[in-house]
Amino acid sequence: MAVPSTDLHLIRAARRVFTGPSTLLDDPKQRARSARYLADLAHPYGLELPDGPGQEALGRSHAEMAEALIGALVPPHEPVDLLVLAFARHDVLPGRATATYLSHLCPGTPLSFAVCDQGPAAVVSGLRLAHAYASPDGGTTALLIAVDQAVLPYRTPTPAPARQQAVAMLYRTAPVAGTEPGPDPAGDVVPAPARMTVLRQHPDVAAGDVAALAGSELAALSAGRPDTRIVLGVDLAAAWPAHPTGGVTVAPPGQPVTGPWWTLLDVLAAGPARSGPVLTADYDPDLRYLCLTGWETTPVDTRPR
Amino acid sequence: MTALDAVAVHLPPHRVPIESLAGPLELTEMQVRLFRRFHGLDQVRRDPDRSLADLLRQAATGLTALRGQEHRVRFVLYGRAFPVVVPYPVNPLHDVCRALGLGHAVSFTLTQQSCASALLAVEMAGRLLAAEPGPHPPGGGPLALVLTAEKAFTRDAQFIPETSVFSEGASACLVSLDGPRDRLLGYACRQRGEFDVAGGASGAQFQREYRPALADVIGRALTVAGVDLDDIRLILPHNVNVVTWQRLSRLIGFPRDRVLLDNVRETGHVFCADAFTNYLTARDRGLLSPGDRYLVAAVGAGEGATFAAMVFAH
Repeated sequence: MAVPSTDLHLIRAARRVFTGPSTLLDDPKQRARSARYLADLAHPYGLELPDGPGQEALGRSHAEMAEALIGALVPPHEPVDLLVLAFARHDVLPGRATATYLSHLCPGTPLSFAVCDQGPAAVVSGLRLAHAYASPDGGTTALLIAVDQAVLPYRTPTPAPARQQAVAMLYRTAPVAGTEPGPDPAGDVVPAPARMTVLRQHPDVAAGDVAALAGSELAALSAGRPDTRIVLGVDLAAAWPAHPTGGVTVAPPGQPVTGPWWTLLDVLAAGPARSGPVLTADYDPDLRYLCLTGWETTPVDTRPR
Repeated sequence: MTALDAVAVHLPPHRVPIESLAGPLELTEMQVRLFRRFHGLDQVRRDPDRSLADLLRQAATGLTALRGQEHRVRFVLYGRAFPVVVPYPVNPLHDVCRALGLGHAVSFTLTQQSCASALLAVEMAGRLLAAEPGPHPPGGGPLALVLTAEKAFTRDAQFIPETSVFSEGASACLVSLDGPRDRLLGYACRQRGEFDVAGGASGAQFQREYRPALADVIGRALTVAGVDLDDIRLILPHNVNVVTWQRLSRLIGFPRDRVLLDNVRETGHVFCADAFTNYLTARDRGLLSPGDRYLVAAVGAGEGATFAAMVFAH
């Protein structure tokens, strides 16, 4: 399943690792509310919560992470039309309509919603939705925020993300001249202008088939471009031990949702002579999605502004 | 143009009078009386023996138009009011998709617009289908399946204080770009994140602005659709309560008897499924004729607020 060449341009991005507990959960009312919800959520599945649920598992809320990145990335004079929050592991404030809240904080009061229940592929679906939403006449701005939630109050069959971190990516249907630094150029913001050239999602790919499919897809998408750089998700690299290594960067382990995007930003922004195509590929062994995206970088304008 | 090809709804058969909710929800006699006499609520549907996956499966299998067309389904969008309904990584959506022969479809949940998430899912389903590369053979184009389903699994999912009570239920809706019936003419959505409870919003301010905000988004949807309110044959409301819609009808100048409120008494608020429940009721009762314009409205409230409306041509 493929989305053909599009006019969606990554303008800039912001990313951050978050430490410490949620300040919202300092409020006893919020803690009690969250604890009650989580207890009702877990009970039918026989999951045990710590004594006094909500007292010990105080992860950062999605809203806190996203809010910080919006502030760093989107200046007040740049209204956003669409905001998509993508996650795999749920929020520590599970009942909150966080995307609706973020709409209020984000310049432009964008149409906002969350994409989930799809593992790491939710980020790619968010990108796909942004592409589908974008007006072909240009002028649409979309903000895609991916979060890794490290703290849940019950045991999960797969390890928690190593860090609580988030990546926010600002897209437009038209490129910008030069590089706009964003409100916080010295901190979390990565200038990484690039045009999305392809997006493919292959559902229900068996683990035994993923190496062949990923290999053929990457070969086809990089045909005639020996300078193509590739970002592989760590789970795809594990499922494909013989994956190519030349020009390939494997995302670090422990960040299933944000890791490939964090690494993509590194690759897009790497080196003064940066140009040429970049591909990402990732595989979720649980929900069996193989997702690929393609990017054509554009030179960064490094002139003093 | 986005079109609803087929709609199915599953409501648990077990009916619970609202008086029976008083004990578990610690409602006073006065609060129950308010629900019944003032808000026009009577009963809710519950099925403690059926899971969320059961509800999703029941709704989807009731969609007879899906049978034999599974290969055309590119996307399954689960529009859900409550952002989190199962512990991670339990995934009823993907379990049900595989069981229905839809493992090949890109499937995900759209949420955090509370009970307006279903209208969002219909809108985004149409946009995703429109972005699919063509050409497609006549009558053989790609499809999307929009699902809704909710369990009243926690206190916040059982009632809205002083406002409404929730029924469990589910719906399934087949969306195409070239279907002959129920074509989407316009969609509008307005979010009010400042009413976020965790952010310390004032409930009183929300109550004051509720109906004007809903009236505003209805006006926006009509504008997008290019039709006047006078052109609307029927409004399919969210089933929050009767009095809200009586007052809203007065505010926008729309005849009360053309707002389908019968299901408020029958089911109360079925989260995101109200639109589809009311659509089937309207169709079954012959309230819509070919070519009629009708308006669907939804409000997602409780944690922030989302007001949404859609205009269709039947």
